[in-house]
Amino acid sequence: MIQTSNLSATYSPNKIPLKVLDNINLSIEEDTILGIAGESGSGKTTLLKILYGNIQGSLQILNGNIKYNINEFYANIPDDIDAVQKQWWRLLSYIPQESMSVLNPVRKIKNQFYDSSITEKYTHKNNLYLDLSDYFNSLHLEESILNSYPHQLSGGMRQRVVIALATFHSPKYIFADEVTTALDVIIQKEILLLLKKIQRTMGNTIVFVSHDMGVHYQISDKLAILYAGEIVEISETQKLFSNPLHPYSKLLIESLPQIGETILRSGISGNSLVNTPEKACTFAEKCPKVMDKCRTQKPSLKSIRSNIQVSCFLYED
Amino acid sequence: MIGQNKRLYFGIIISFIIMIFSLVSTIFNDEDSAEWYTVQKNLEPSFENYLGSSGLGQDILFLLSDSILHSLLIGVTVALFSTLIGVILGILSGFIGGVTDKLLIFLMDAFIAIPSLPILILLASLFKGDFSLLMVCIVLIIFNWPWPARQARAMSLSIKENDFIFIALFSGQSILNIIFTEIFPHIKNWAMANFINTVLVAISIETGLAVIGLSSLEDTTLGTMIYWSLKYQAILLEQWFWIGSPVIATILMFFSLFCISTGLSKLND
Amino acid sequence: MEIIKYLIYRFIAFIGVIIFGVTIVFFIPRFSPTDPVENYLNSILSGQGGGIDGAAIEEMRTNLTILFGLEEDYFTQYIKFITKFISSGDFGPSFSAYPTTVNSLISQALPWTLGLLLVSTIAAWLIGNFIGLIVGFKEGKIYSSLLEFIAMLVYPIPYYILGLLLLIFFGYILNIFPMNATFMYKTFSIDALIRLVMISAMPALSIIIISIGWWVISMKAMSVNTKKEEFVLFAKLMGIKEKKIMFSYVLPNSLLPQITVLALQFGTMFNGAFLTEILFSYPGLGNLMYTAVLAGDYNLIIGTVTLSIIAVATATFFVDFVYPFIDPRIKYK
Repeated sequence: MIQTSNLSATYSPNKIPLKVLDNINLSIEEDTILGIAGESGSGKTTLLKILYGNIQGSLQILNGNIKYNINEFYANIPDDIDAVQKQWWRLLSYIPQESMSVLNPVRKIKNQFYDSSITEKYTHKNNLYLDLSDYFNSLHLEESILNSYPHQLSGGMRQRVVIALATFHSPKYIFADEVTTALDVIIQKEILLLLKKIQRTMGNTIVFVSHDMGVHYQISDKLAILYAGEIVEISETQKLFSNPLHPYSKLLIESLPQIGETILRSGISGNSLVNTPEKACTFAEKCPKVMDKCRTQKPSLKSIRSNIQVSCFLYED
Repeated sequence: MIGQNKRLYFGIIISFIIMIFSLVSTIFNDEDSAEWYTVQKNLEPSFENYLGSSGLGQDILFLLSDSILHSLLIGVTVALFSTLIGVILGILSGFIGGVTDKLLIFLMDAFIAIPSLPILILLASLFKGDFSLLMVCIVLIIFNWPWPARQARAMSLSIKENDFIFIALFSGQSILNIIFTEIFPHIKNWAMANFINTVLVAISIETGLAVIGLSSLEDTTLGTMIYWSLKYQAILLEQWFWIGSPVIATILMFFSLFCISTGLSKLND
Repeated sequence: MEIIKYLIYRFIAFIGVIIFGVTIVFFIPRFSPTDPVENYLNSILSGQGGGIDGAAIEEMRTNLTILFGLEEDYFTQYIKFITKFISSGDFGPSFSAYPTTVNSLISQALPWTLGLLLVSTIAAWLIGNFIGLIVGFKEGKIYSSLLEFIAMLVYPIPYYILGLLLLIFFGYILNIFPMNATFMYKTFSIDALIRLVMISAMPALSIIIISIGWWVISMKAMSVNTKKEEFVLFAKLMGIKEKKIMFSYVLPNSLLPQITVLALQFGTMFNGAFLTEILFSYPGLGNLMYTAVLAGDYNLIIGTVTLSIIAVATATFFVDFVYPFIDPRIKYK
């Protein structure tokens, strides 16, 4: 289990601190796929980085903490960032955006595997190689890929190689950032099925960030909606789609095109944490159900029913 | 701003001082500073001759000033023309393509692969005393235009691929307008750094030629000043002002120009 | 097959550049305002003090014109020159060291220059790039900034200025290395080897020190950029050790472009090496060319200039040929 409590973070690209996440309370359980949805700028990639322990440069934790409890590994961010980072490619792994260009151009694929801590568990490279080729086969990747260079592979193949890299050592938590964004729909479907299969087989947790609601529908068991750096709703995916509670979730889901539709879609203009005053709901300006209360007080995440949490005054009675 | 780019400001200040100094002789001295025996030779520094006089009877201060001036003129002239010619030819080569491109690439390869110094030495041996600084400049321009040309060509090739130029064209912008608003901002930064590097290279080669006595005997440059001081045994006679001042001036000039060059490229990041 | 095509193109370009260069060398003297024959006669006569009579001068003039290959029209001369060049590579006799041929003088001097250049270039490239990698990778550490500062200080100094400084310091003041570079040994011996090292030390040092400065700066810029690449950032997220990232991720990707850069630098390095040779009277090609100029030895000048063009062109294109076999991105296509 990974649990965040009142997590807030700032980021200072021009030396001026901007708050990018506010009061995040999230429980990430085992053996599930948790989706994090939101538009660009909502803070979802930042949240993923922080959960992975990739906190550097001007990114800083302002408030709150993250507790890790995985297979007798206990740690706490921000106190034990080093301990969490030591778990990179052991209990934790990360699949970045732009998987096309994350492989070393002058290194054979197998060597990139050997470079990581995976090799520590093996006495002979040969055994590792055999296991790798078995794993590749199970992912429908040819063994020859192991001896190739990245530029010899197609974009889709490289994507799958990166997924193999991130999952081969059976991590417990896999953090995936916009994994399907750059792909065409057909490859996208394959990758999603692949990820789902890996999760179901290995019984690990995938934290899946994407702005694409359609993708979440296909893969996420549970879905957290992020708006302007705050979680506005968390629910089981099916329930969320059939009955979205928060006005923003509603707009998001309604924005999904359905086959046979003829209605024109309208976009939802975004917002960031920077622009809203401390004591107001960040969605107040754009909310179709806004009340006076929303402009003077900030709602917080509350459990409505089992497994459903919403942050909205509409449900606070 | 100053704190972030100390290098650039340091370079600019030193170069500026050097440039001002190079005009001292032109302004304050009526005679030809390079003419022999205008002053009593081998004088120590004094209030009449601030850096003393050389073994050939020249006031070192004025001589140094003129030498710097001429070296700078050479550098700037070569840099100006080779950058101009190079960028034009490079852009032409990239945009037109075809045979023109192939021909220009060949010429670029040729002048990069052929070392300039042996050719200059050959010319110097033929022209002997008549080897003017103008000729040195021309040869240097011929050998230096490929460098900015290559970059300009690469840039125009990638621009050719880029859609935004076509969008600009289709939306009605005139070609000149496009060149200034879309292309120029990309080019101007490395063009500046390139310009300064060429100044350095040009001064370096001419000075090199001069130190071995093969440059123009008419006008004094930093290199020729060093040449004469070596020829008249300035080291053995420990005439440190005569040989030291051009050496130090050269080092300072190169260092400050280099600071400007790297300072400019830091601005890009 | 792409590679074969590429190699053929580069080879044709290589030959083309050499012919182009040789043509330039051929035509420059013919367009000079001074007649090389008259020039040469004048320098002989002024040396001899006018003790030769008119008829003898005329005979010399005719012979020299034939020897210089100047008696027919340009086109015929050119064809003769090219064919002689291609078939025998013979540049004729040296005038100042008559009857020693230009070729024999060059073949004595060339190994010195090649040795100096090869050793200095490779040493500087390896050391400079290695230091540059450290400076770029460990940006921010004190020793990194210090090294960078030293490189920046050294790099802009022209070769011969540093050579002068070394000459003054190590030669004149400290008297460690010899101030003139005469080499009298004909056969190999330990003494000969020691002497070789002694006279090569200062020239090599001046070239190496300054070249290192250059490589450090360019490699630092390269490494800093490579460090920001996606695949390096991902390697960090993979928990790959820093040393591994430096040597297997940043180094190879930064070093490969440096090989291309090296190919472009041969002309500049040759220029610098030449001046250094002349300054130290080092018995290489540069010094030979210089003494040829001072003596007005026309054949020797043409010979040395042509050969320097061939040497640099060969080095440049050699890298072009070899590079595709080194870069895995090109090798496996």
